[in-house]
Amino acid sequence: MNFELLAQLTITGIVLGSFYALMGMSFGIVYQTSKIFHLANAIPFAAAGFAAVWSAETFHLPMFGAFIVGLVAAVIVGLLILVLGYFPLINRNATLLSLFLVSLGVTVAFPNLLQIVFGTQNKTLQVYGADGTLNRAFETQVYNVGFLTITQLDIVKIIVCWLVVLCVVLFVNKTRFGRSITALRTNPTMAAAVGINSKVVYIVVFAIGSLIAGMGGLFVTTEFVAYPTMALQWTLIGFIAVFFGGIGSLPGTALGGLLLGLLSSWSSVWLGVQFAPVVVFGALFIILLVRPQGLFGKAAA
Amino acid sequence: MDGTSVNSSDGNLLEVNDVTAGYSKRRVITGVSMNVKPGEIVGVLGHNGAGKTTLLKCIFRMLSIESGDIVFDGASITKSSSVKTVASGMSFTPSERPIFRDLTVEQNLELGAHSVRDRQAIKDRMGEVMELFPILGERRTQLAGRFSGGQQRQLSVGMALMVQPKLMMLDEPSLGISPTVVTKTFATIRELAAEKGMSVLIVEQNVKAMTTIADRVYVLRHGEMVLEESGDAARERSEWWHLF
Amino acid sequence: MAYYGQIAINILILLSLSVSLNLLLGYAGRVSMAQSILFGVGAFTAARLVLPQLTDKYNANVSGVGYGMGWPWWAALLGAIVVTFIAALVISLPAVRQVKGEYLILLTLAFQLGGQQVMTVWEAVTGGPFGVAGIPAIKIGSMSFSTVKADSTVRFAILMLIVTVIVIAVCWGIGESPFGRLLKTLREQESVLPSVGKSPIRPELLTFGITAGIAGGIGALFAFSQGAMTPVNFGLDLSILIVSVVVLGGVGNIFGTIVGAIILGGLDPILSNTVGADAIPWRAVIYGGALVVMMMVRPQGLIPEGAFRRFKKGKTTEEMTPAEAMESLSRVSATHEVGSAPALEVEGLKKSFGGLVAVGGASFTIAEGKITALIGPNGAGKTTIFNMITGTFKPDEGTVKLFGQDITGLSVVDIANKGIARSFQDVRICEQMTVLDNVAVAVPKQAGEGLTNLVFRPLKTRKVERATRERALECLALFGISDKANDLVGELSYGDQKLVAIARLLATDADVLLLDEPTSGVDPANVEGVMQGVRRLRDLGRTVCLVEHSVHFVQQLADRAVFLDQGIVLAEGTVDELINQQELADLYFGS
Repeated sequence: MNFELLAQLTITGIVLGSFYALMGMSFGIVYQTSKIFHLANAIPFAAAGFAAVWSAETFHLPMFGAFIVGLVAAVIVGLLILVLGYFPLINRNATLLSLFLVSLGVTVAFPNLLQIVFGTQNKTLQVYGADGTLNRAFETQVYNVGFLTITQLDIVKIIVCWLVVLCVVLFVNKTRFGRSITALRTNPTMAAAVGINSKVVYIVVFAIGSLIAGMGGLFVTTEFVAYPTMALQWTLIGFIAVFFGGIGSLPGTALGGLLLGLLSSWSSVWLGVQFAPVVVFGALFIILLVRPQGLFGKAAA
Repeated sequence: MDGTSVNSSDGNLLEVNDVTAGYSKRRVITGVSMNVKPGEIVGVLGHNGAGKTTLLKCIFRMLSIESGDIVFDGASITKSSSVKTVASGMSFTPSERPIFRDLTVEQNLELGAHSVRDRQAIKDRMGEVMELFPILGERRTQLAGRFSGGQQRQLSVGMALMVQPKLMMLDEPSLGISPTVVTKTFATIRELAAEKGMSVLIVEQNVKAMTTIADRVYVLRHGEMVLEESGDAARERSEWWHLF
Repeated sequence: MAYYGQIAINILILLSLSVSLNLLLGYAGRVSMAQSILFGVGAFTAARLVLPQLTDKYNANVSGVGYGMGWPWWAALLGAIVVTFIAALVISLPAVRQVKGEYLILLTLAFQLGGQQVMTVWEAVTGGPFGVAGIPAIKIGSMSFSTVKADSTVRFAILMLIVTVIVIAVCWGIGESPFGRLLKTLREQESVLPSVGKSPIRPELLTFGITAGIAGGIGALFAFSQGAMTPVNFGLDLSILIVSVVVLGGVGNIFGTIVGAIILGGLDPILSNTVGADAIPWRAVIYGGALVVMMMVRPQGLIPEGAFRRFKKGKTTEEMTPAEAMESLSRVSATHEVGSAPALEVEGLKKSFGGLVAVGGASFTIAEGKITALIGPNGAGKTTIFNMITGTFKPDEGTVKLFGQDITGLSVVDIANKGIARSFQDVRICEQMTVLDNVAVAVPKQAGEGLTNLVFRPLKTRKVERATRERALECLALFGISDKANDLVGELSYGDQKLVAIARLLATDADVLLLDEPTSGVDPANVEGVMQGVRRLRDLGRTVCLVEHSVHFVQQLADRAVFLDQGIVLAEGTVDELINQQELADLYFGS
């Protein structure tokens, strides 16, 4: 493999891996706190995309206005799932399996509902221009630096993704509320003893997770299109990043995501791009066999 | 029940009336009644698995109770929750892992004051705790998980003090620490109770350590209260086997 | 007719896939999100095996038909079953090692979605997004079975009905056999299996394989019947639909699955006639929503597991008294030479955890046919010693001898088979299983726990099973609870649950029984019953060693006691001798 190709693949891998890391953050903060296998994290993702497209067309919102509507929608549906779907079962001390089944039910129902309401066709994010016509909201520019190619959107993506990673890690480790999250995760009995309300922590954590999922949905909608089943594969990537990087370690999750992105990009030389999911799955499979706690995770006590 | 009985009067800080509780079908305590008066140090003794921790969790409202009633500071807390009991002036320190190992001393103490809103009060109390346990002041930015068992105990007591409880509840504070440290810890608790006028409810298997500081003791055996007597009577008692 | 035939085929396929998943999800309690993709793996494997060989290169491009190995349909069917069986074994490997629910969900989900992706891009096998066409139909004599023509559609529907009945019979047979009992125990209390001398790994892996193999076989039939298919047929939605059928119907219950499949499968034609093109998304909304609502209001499903257990031939054996049970059970001969050596001999046992010494060189012996208690203050290392004797922990140093035979370092399963069985503090009984099944699972050497016996030696299996149940009933009768044999254990009082756990110990035929806090958590009113039960174990000649924190109860129960502190034996003797020693009292109560 020549150097130029390797360098270009690395750039592509970093872009991809940054997005994986973002999705890992979204699921990671929810999972490490609640232990719920929150597959329905796919719903805020899709909700954000559809809400943005719909609001831009209906209310003639500019792109960033549509983004805000999308993020608000993501947080709202995420919290609705928590409060209406999970809390009743948590109150009953139901098993994690039944929580997962609720998640599964929501995950299958929602995109189909979207399809019934909005139809099967792909939705492009369009905004009304000054002349009153609907145009694609964002056309990315392509930069050529020497032999390397990168788009404007890719650069934004890398910056936003790592900013989010940084913010989440700082929030959890440095703020007063973040310490409640750590407290609840590492020692639930003591957390209750000092009077931490686990419901409040769950609500905040799900709001953050849904917000980040919503950002993911907006990226995909802006770059490509929104469609009802757009979220599932990215949600799963987030899950894999968490288990691959190590449960309970948010920086580990982010690095795990980055590494998976690089792996799938580099491997495309031999396998073709379409096989990226297979590479990711293979990497997960091997890690779970040889290092079940994940790449950067601490061994269970 | 045998032993000297103590008149139960009004003015109890805590009253547990005929409480039965457990985990689903597994019944751990049966018809337990007890009380704690203001400023009193009360010990609940008993063998491992007698239901001592369960009793504390019931009082702290971390565990639902099947029947019975719990009154704290004049109000029934039977239907309350742990979030509220902390705010109403109760602290609970578990026997195992009574601290957050992945956080620093300072962060632990701040979490201890989770229910306190007043930032200045938190700062003042933290100063007090570090004065009381100088080692915590010296190692305020170190991870609590690296501490010895005795230091972790001190930190856990410090965390409880952060809410200035009316009733401090400690679950087996002698667990995992050496006999000399046990003596010191219990002496500190005695001093604190006298100084702050707070009540202390301790659950212990270490009969001797408990009886040296207790005003009153109960013995729980297999989920039932089998004895209540004054601290003096308990110190005189030569035979404990039949109560365990 | 053909219209109804196709509807019937769709429902029957869903039914077969769901019934086989119920084996894994319902009986063994393992979630698989990959049932749909395994169905697809079977379908494409069969298609490639059955398609004609490419003989003429020029025809390849003009015919528009796929090519393959040219196997006969039945060989292709077998091939599909074998391939999916092996695929499932491979995916489940890390999960079996991990034994954690979410790992398995993740792995199967990743396999499902990754597999879908592969199917759409791996054109050489799946034909890419356009799929494979021209798959030949099943032909028996001059009759063909496929959905291509009206009359053969009905024929295929009948064939599919026969297949479905066979699948139900197979799954029912496996689920309700001793093998199925192992699976249910695996689901409810995994750690119990090794403790009664049975490895959980083989039944778990086999179940993954069988579930997948059935899906693969059905996939092959699907391919033969449709003649053409695309990867879209094997999406995640189908996997979720199958899980929904099992959960809505009621896990661990094949009747529930049948009802669930008919309801959800029947939605399809009804919706097609009402909402038309939106039928498929509407169905997904309905079953997704139903899943959520069901978990809230009726988590056990439409027909709960064990709903029909009272109709099962209860074979009303005349009630046995404890004395009769004692008589009958005492005929079980001991597996060791009587009086040759102490039942259990622990020598210099040491164990530390990360520098913390839990057991610091414990030596003691347990006399045969007596009740011996381990006592000591908190942290004396009693439970750690139990764990080392039973092989849960490997000792750092020291030996454990059973009737003179060194068993140090053997696995939990091997030690249990040598004749040491243990109970657990937290009972670990299987609440959704009957009392009888809870005990029967512990009976050693059951022919019906092997699948080959179930298939090839059904008569012997039945005979052994009858003996197994009889033995289990005797064990229950000894404790006076045989009248509850057909109740679910979850319905019993905690005291009775403890007795079931002790009966399970007895059923293992082990000579040495280790009881971890037999009376803890039992209502004061029922403690006497449990203690009576422990004494009966001794009266049967079993050697009993127990950890019990209440000295009060130890005094009433134990013939001898071993006093431990910080993992070292300080004294042995009768309980009264021990509690008269002042230094032991000082250790216990502090000084």
